[in-house]
Amino acid sequence: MKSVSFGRLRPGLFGLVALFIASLTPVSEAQTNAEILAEMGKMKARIAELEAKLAATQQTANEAEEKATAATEAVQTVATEAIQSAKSLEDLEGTLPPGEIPLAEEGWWNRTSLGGYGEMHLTLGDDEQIDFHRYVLFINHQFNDFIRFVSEIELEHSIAGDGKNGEIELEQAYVELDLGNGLAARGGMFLVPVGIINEYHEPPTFFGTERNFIEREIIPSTWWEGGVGVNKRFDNGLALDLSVHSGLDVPTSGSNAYRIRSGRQKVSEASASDWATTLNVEYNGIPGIGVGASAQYQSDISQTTSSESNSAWFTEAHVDIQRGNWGLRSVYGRWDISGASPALLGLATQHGFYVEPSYTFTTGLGDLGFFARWSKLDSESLDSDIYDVGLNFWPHERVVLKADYTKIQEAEDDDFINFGIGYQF
Amino acid sequence: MSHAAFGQAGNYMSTSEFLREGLGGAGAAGSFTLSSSDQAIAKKILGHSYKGSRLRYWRSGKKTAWVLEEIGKTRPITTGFIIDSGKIHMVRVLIYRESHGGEVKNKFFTRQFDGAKLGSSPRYTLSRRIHGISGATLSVNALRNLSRFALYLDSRVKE
Repeated sequence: MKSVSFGRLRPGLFGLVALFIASLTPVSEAQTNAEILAEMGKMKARIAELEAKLAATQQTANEAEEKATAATEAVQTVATEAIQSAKSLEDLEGTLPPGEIPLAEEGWWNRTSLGGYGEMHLTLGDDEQIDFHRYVLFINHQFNDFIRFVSEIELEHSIAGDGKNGEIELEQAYVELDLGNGLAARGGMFLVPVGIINEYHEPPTFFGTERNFIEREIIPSTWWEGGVGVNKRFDNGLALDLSVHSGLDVPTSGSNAYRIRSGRQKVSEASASDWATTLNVEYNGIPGIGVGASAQYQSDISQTTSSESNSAWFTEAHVDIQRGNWGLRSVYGRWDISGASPALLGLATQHGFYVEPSYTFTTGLGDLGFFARWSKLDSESLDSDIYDVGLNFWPHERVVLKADYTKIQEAEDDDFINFGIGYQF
Repeated sequence: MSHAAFGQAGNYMSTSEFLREGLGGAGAAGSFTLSSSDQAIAKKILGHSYKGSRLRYWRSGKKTAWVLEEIGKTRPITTGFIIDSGKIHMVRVLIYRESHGGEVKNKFFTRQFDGAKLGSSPRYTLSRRIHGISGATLSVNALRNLSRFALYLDSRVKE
């Protein structure tokens, strides 16, 4: 409510009162009507003048009050903000950001996370088949700020048991410790850090319904071993990983002799007389461009299957580029196995590569990507060129529909069409 | 996607450190309550409504600061955004909880956001392309979406 100072109005009011009193004085008989009218005119003019002065004074007072109110509010705002600012900084010191619950106040369930992925495939060709290939769950747990547990359990081909097609596999189960300054250590069963697909094989992350042949036969994805490892990552995007782990134990006779994929022991009462050492280097310092390489040595990859010692070197290099709509993936992998037997079978060197350009763009319904892949493989199971073309459609970033055509060019060509649906969460 | 190193989880920066770097102090703290129409926009940007309905933010001059969270692969990434005059001034990952993909915290990645603003067509997209990190697709997408949401929130508190 606005108020007017009485002091400022006093002179004007006194004038009005004086005029009013004067107007009550008895009129002299000597005054004529004309004189009275003239006097009244003067009084009217005086009253109008005083009214104008009063209005002006009131306006000035109102303006002064508004300014005073605004100034007071401004001072209050500044003071409040200053207090809030001081409080917020004080409150934040030593506390956790939003969403982070102090360890002492939370249950184990807040530190345990669940994830997973899955994929179903339909193959049309000589052997027409539908298969829920993989159903996978991740269960991870954070013990404290620097120790965590990571696991991955998989049901393959939808049903497991004696005489069934599928199996239940524990593919990862390790404890990881952050040691500070970008250094971490882990122990347990983990995915061997080689190539692209072996560590990152959730269906929405790669093209093609089935995984590429190079990262099935040369890099036997999914490939996991038991052991320990250390990792150092630098702020410039360079990361080094050194692991010592259980090794392969390849068959040395039969149809799968010296087939790398058949040498996986899956850390199931596995022979541990000859361990392997793997070094992996990755560089991701330029967004959209990932390059890496790995080397592994095992003193004998036929630990229990042959008296012959078959030491082996595995080497690989890979690139994974996604710049704008264009993508390019390529992997080259190679095994060099010593000993007379693999040389006799022509399997002392097994190697292969693929090159996979792609183009992905956004549509109103989701992302759509096209790819082509040329693979060249010289291995125990295949010695051929393989061509794939197809598309991925992502209605959501974590859901993918796939369709592709594969042609394997060898003595007797083989081709088939695949359709797939996959997800991760 | 290809490799990122394991063992990348960690608390990299406290909120007060982030505010000191981004605002030169704590700024003036405020809160913003998400209305149902804000949550509808959140669904467009994030694919889901934002958890909770009241967001704390800080203000200093034309800058606003937001600390937001979004799930990467299976766990939330806590990320701070400084918005200056409708453009991203700074992005910092405060806490990364996944074992893989932590390269998104590095400045060679986060500096891509500097200067980005909300595009007008289509709405709520970033005005510039953010290149990904091999092996960290979900973490990259989480930060892309959060940056769009932070820009939207900044525009709301300045209405």
